[in-house]
Amino acid sequence: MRRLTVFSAALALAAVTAGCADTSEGGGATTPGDPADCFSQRPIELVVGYDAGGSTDVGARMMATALESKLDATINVVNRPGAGGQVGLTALANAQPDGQTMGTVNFPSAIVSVLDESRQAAYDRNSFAPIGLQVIDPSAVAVRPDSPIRTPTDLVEAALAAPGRLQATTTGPASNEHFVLLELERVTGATISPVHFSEGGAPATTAFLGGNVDLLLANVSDLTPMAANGEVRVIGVFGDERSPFLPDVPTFAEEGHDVEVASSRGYAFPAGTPQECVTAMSEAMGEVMSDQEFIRKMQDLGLAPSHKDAEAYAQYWTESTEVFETLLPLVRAER
Amino acid sequence: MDTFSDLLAGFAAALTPQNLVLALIGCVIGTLLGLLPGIGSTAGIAILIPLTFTLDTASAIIMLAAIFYGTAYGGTITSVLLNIPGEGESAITCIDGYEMTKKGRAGVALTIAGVGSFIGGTIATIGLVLAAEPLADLGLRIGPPEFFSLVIVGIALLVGLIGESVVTGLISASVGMLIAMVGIDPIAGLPRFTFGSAHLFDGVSFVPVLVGVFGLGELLANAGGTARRPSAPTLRELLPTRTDLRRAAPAIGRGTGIGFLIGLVPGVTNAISSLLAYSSERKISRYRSELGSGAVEGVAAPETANNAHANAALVPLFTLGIPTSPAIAVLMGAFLMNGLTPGPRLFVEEPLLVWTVIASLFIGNAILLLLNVPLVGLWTRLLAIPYPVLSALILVFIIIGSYAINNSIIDVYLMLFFGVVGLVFRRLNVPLAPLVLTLILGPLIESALRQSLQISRGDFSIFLTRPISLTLLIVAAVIVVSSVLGSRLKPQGKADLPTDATV
Amino acid sequence: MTESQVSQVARPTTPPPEAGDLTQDGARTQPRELAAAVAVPVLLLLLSVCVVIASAELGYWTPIGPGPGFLPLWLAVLLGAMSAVWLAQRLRARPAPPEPAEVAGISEDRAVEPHDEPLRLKQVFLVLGSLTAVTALLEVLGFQLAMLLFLLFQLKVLARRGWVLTLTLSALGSFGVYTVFAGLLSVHLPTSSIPLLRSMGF
Repeated sequence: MRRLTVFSAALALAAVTAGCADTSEGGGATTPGDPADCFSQRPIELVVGYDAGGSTDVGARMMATALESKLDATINVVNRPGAGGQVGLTALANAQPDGQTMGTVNFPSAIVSVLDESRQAAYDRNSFAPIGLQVIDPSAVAVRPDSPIRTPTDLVEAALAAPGRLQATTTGPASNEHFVLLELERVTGATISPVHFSEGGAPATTAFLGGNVDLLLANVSDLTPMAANGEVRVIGVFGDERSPFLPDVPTFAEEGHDVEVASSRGYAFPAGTPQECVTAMSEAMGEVMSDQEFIRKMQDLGLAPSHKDAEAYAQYWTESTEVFETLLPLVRAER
Repeated sequence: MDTFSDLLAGFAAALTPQNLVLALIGCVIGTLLGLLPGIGSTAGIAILIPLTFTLDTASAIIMLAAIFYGTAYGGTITSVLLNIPGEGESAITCIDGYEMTKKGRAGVALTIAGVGSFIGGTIATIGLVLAAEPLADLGLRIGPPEFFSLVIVGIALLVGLIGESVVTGLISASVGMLIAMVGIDPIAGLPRFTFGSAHLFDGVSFVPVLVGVFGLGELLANAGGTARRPSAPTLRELLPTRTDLRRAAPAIGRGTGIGFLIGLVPGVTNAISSLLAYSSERKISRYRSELGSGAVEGVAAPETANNAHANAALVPLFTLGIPTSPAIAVLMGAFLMNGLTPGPRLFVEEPLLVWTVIASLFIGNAILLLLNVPLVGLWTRLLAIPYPVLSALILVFIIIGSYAINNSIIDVYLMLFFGVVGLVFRRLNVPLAPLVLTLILGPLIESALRQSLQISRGDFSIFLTRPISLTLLIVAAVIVVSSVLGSRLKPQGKADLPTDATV
Repeated sequence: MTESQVSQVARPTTPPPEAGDLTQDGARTQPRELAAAVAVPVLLLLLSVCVVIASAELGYWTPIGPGPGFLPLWLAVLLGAMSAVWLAQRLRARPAPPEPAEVAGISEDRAVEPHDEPLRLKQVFLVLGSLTAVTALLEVLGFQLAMLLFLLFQLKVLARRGWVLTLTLSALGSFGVYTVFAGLLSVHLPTSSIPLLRSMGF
């Protein structure tokens, strides 16, 4: 996700600036009792649990700008980075549930931090009122262009033939990529050894390109530019359908290996926020996500748009939690 | 010569009056932002990008490059004048830079830092122009085992940093590395020494620790006025003497080499380059015994290395499409905005844009030099503010700086705590340089060791069977052995030389 | 060549007295410093023992190499050993209770020291105390008000400046800095948690 980083924040920031201008021009009166009343009194704080300039931040700032004009409100983005989003989620869970504070929620970290008791999270699933989902970025696996492995089935067969022989990068223990390997083993019996790069994507990519590790595991958005350059060949995506960024690459599910792991980014209020505020925000987000111009801008920045409303997002949250509940014991077993 | 004419075209595109004015503005704004600790080049650029949005690509990139150099230099100014490191990469500059300031030689330190940055940055950019492809291959040869051995070389250089007092030096080093152990460990992914606080899961941030140990520690030591305070230098003292230049030249050369080579490795920060450059000076400089007490090499080497690193880091961007630092990612974003994907094909498809960017790096470096060296006099006037007033204002800035890095009050408390640590270390003559080195290098040892062993499936011989790794380990062994032998010989011949001053 | 070498060596061999020299003298003559000199190694020793115990729980070795507790354990052992040596050195260096000759030496200093040293510690505590207070207040009052109070205290009480300078600098350092960094440069600064103050823009 490093690819986007700071610059893209700028895009969003610029958009924010423009958005502010819009709001001041279009600023009309809201009638009392209007659901928008939730948000018109003072600025809404949008807590982003990641650094300014990261891809979560970029998406959040774009969303904030768009919501400002839809809701005729002011939204201030506040970055509270740390512990893979846990610091931001803690701040969100402890905020006043008055509709004035919302925050970003990233899977799997928001789920794993709750399930993994060593993280001692000060919140759980019930601490949040989901608003909606903005991005689903599936994991994918790439090989060097000269590799004989060409399809998901090739990979599974190669791993079955020599268990543990193949090695793949991850961005740390209990990361998305680690879960991919564990889930792949659970579903197909194929064992691939992880090499953990807790420092992030750049050192992992270097180790892969330098020939130290066989497979590069990353999000589709990270792999797309490298695939365009011909440095890597993406052989399979761990999504329920093909990625619009890599239309020629099959999913693992297509070939009968039903492994789906993705990072996703959505938004939530603290639990206890008035239902009409949640509904109003969720509806506004739905309108934003149906704007073709907005979708195109997201895609330009490598963000894969995927909208779910409050209800669907809550259900997705529950389903994802179940998946990670089955996988986490496997992580513990490796400790 | 094809490359040359491409570069000229790039310069032609970059050198319009409008672009030069933008570069100037960027440099000034960047320097001002860089004065604030915690807002380093990364955050500085992130904050200021909206300013560049109305501009065309070349202008935007030129302005961003200027902001980038400006913020980096702003951090140097506070390190040298006030002993407040803006970022990890300028922490080590505090040591000799501030000692020079205390001797009234702040102007010299700032001028040398500016000149060194210019030379390091320019040579690294020339390297990029001449041999991007082979250099990128070199960078990729540094896998986890090689990186582990490189960190071991850094640790071996610690012997030089420890100086005369082995006991306090090792205490400082082990405290630094223990601080670095805090956070989610890279092996099992379990929280380690975090006291249940999610704020500490990512480890203790460098900036509050460094600002506390250096900036606040110094202020507290001076609180009642027993320690010597810096004074504003006179105009004549601003310029380096011929001796300064002669001494700085080899340090700048070594700093360029170290920064350039390490900058080629994706994912390694410039703090590591500046630390290794400083440590090497402590080991091989002719004047190594003066380092720590205000030697010009102690400023020239790390400042040169960190700028050479920053420019060399563009090689992996242009050849592999890997942005090695957030600042580089900004430039990458400027490409993406134009529908271009950074990588090897870009040189073929959009040569003018690539060469404009490269030309703008030369220009950014030059503007930095032309703008900041004459301004050195102005910056040093800060020291003319009466100390009690100055210290109150510094306190405001170190609070903002510690807060701004993560928007967290906890970081401000951490900074206060490490201010007390800094005070105690100063009063008891415990050197600070080993702490900085292990604080920054420490976390890398564990990850690199673990990654290497995962690749080799637990076989430790991986460090010896790979040529680059083996070579680095031999270098480390030579450094340690020669230090031990050297210290045994030292007392006889050189007894009258000034001893290593502790910081 | 020789000429330049002479000048190069000449500068650093005659440095003005530095903080280091002062603290060393202080360590020899000030009982308070001596207490610190003993207390610090003892504290470090305790810290190292705690780390050893904590590391033991983390796992020392795994099938493919060192575990999470390996490095901290050995660092703590190193820290503990060095602290012990340091403590021994400090105890040995401790001068015997004042002998006549030394008393004479100290009493000469006393003309300055008794005023200087207690004041110094008082100043350190004042600075630290005010810093802790302003840090605690930042998210209660918001950046501007907390920093205004802090600067008034620093400049008027500690630095004893005139009102004009104090008020000007305090306003610039709080409201001015906030306007520049939060307003123009979009740096997020702490805001008040009290709804009333918040609605007033703090």
